[in-house]
Amino acid sequence: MNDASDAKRMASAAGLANMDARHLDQLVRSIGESRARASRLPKDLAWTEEVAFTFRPRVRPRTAR
Amino acid sequence: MTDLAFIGIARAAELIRTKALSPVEYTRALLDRIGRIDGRLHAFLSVSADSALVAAREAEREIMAGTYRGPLHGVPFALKDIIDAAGLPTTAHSRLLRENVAAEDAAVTSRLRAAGAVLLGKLSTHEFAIGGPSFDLPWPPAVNPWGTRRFPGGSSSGSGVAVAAGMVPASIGTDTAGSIRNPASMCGVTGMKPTYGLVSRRGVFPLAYSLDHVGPITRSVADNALVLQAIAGHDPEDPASASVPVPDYSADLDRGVTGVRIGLVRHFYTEDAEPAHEEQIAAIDAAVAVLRDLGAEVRDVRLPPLSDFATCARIILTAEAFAIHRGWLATRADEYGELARARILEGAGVTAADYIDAQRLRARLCRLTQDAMADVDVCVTASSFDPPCAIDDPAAIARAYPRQARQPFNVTGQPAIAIPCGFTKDGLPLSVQIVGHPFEEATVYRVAHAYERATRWSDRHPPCDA
Repeated sequence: MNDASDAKRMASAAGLANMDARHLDQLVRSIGESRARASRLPKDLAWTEEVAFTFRPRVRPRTAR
Repeated sequence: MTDLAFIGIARAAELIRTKALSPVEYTRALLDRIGRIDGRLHAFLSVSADSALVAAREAEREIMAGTYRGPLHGVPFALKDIIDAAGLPTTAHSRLLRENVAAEDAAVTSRLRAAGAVLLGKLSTHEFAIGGPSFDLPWPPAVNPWGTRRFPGGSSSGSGVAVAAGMVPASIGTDTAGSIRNPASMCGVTGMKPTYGLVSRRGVFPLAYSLDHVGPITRSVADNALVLQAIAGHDPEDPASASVPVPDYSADLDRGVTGVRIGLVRHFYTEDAEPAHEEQIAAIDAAVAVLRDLGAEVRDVRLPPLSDFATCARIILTAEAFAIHRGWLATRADEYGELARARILEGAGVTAADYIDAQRLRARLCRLTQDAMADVDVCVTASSFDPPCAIDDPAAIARAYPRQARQPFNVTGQPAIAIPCGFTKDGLPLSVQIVGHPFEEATVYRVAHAYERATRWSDRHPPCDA
């Protein structure tokens, strides 16, 4: 995971194709932290438990014909 | 001079309304003070003295002509530098936006101007409201007026410092994971994160769309209510703006707390992590005793564990922040400070499913919090777990970062205020947080005001004239 080609692959997957070696190291560390955090998400979320905020279409006033 | 530096908005407004205080005189006094002390504190990134004096003269002309707009008319304020003011730079304290000049006012700026308030300038922040305190940026970080080698909190660092040091009576900050309440706690002032959607985010550079809040920092609770009154309200141009009535936030301030039901969320700062600093715990215990003596009914309340809120908030925050910054990170990564870049890059590792699950966890946490608070009017808990640490000690800053109980209320969107509740034996500020039900800011202010009046901690000011 820590070798240069893996880091470049991770950067490319994230849309960050032009990072230098120092930034790639930082990216690998940051991604490691976020993966560790994601592993702490609960495993018992039921399919009925929806996201906190959902898109709602808004009614906009229209000009009369 | 000292009187004008630390005069409250309510008192200043009365003097201005009765023509005993000139807005020009008030503005000049604060500009002079900024010139005299901010070289040590670094609260301001830019001071707009000329336009402030123009606005102050206009306020004075209107008031002398009999047009008085209300309690903010002729009263100076300042903005965290991620909030737009037409014609002024919005840098987000970042090299990337060094040349950026706002074309229009943010909603909050235009509301304050409409109330007659006088903008003095733009305030220091952590880079893009996430990366600080940093010493590798074009401007130095703000420092704590209670000790200039101490961390002033963040990310609305300048907003807390400017108010605590008497450079402005009010500032506007933003709060995505506690960034209004943290500097309020560290600087010994009052910071309100209102309910999500109550104050428009239009014209505010985003950190994380679904967690960002805009709110006031002041020295007193009554002043805070006056500023929120001016900035709250529906904005059809902010997709998250709530269309709800805005009550009179000052109407119930003096009703006291007899019969108010308060839930004490003690497990956040005594069990869920390494316990808070002993003086901080003792100060909250003492605050609860004061509220009980004033007639409140206090009982223990258990919310979900702090770590659940932290996991949820950090996944959402980093994913949304990365989406906002990905384009710049791809082409201009070098221009970020180390801290901001590292924190934003965490979002690159969040999968779509992780993000959705975090938002599902958020719904669960909101429901569990609502259930737990069903029988109380407000909750009381810690804001920061520790007094301000050294600003130049990265390990201490990193340790302090998660040691807080503010993030839960960014997740739930509830109103939450941090107010002073004492000082350490070394003279550093301590704070307590009061949390209400959604859109019940008036109840939060009522409890906070009763406590403030009973203790007068907010009457103490840092020794920054020395």
